[in-house]
Amino acid sequence: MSATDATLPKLAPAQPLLPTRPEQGRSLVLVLVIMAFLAALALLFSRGADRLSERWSAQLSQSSTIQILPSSEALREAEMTSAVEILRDTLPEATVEALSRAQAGALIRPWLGDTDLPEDLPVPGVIEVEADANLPREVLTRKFEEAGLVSVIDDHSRFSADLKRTVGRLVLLGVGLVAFVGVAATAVSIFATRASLASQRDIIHVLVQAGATDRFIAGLLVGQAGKRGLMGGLIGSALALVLWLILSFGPASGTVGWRAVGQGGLTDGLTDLSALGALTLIFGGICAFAAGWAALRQLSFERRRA
Amino acid sequence: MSQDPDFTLKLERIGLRYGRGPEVLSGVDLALRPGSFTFLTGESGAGKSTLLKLCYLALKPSRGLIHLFGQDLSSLKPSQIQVLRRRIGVVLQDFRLIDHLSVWENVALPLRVAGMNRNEYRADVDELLNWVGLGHRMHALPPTLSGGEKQRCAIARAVINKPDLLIADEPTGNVDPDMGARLLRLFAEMNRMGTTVLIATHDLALIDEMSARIVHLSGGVIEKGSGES
Repeated sequence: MSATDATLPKLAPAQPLLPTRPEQGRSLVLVLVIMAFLAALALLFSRGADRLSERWSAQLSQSSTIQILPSSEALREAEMTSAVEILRDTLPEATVEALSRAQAGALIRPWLGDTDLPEDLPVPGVIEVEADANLPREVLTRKFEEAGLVSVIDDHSRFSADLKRTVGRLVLLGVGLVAFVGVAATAVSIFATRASLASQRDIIHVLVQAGATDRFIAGLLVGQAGKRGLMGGLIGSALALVLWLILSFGPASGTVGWRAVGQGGLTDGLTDLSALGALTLIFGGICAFAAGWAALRQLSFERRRA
Repeated sequence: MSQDPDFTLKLERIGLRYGRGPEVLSGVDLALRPGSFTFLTGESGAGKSTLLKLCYLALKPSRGLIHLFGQDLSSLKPSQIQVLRRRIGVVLQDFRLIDHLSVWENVALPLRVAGMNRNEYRADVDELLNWVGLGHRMHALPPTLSGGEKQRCAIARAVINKPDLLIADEPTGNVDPDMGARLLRLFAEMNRMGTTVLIATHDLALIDEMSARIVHLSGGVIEKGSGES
């Protein structure tokens, strides 16, 4: 044939070999949107909880409370002054603030009720220390002992460990939920692929007769499923993001959402957006992979049965 | 892998039964030499369509051997069989056109499946469609075509990749005598250029127009013309 490209009109784009059925496609995309929404929300919440835990742990690790148990009310002031001097000597960069007897008494008011404390009640002296570095617990204990002071040092490490453990479980739960949704998306994609092969049996037969290999046919379904997965993942993630923005900055904004830009919110936001982007790609990938696997398996099964 | 280049297609002692039913074909031997033209005749229900299905690999025999292009099919992998299928053009009674694809896309299907670039074959498809009288219908969808147009579209799809073996089941059943003669000339021309042709038909006029070998099938058994003439 002698015709050249120059003499021929522009060629229309190739039509898809497998028809896209809008009604069936819409229902499937809706299911995928809901699953992606749940997965994205679980991801954002677990990341938010993890960030909150880190923030709280950082704040806790910077602040410590030191109790000085006075040997008598008469020596209270002297012993507190001595303890403050020891702290300032040991931690020259730290902020050291000794609470008055009234302020320390206010701390135990929740347990004793809103009444005046008896004069002879042995209220411990309380000193709050804010330091960038961890408190040198052993050094301070030794110095207080050498000065004849009875002290209790609380650097909040136990509470911090409890917090980390709890948040760790929450993060694990979130990851588990994302994985669970991934398994569900795989099952949905396999089901959709089998349904697609069954409903398009006549077209598949024509393709097979024309010499299409199983890989070629599976490739057509992989393309469809991948696009569907990406669309579902994108819409679901976008909806979760909108809800997350409302939670972060709306009237009922909570503590796990994004912070203001100046407080590191931009970094948090970009990281979360990257995670959502990855989730969308993984969603599309899972759907495509499951469709390919199901198609190859089904075609092989039908060939053996023929 | 056995190689027998003397035959395009060779069926040896083929038997076929569906499930546990009786044999639809029994002890069939058929050999088509490269470049031969063969008519397969027989009464309705004689097993012509079933035999054709075996020839274009839509069915596996219950017993016997099939050699295609010199290769024993039982020793080939599915992907290798698919490569062989690309060398066979098939025209079926029910046309098997894909309804959501245009006439042009249906005809181009074997080339697309073979991985060819659209720009490489577009002129061939256009020319063939004009030749079979469907040039003005190339953008139409199959459900809007008449029976004759569908048949011509199916024939064009079967011959577009210049197959080594062309198998047709009643290819002129839905067209007027003039178009039937024109399509037969197309088959004869392809045969002259080396394509082996096997046509199942009841049309005696069609058979009379060609001095070709005739194989008669009756009750699942080849009665005459068995083997290569």
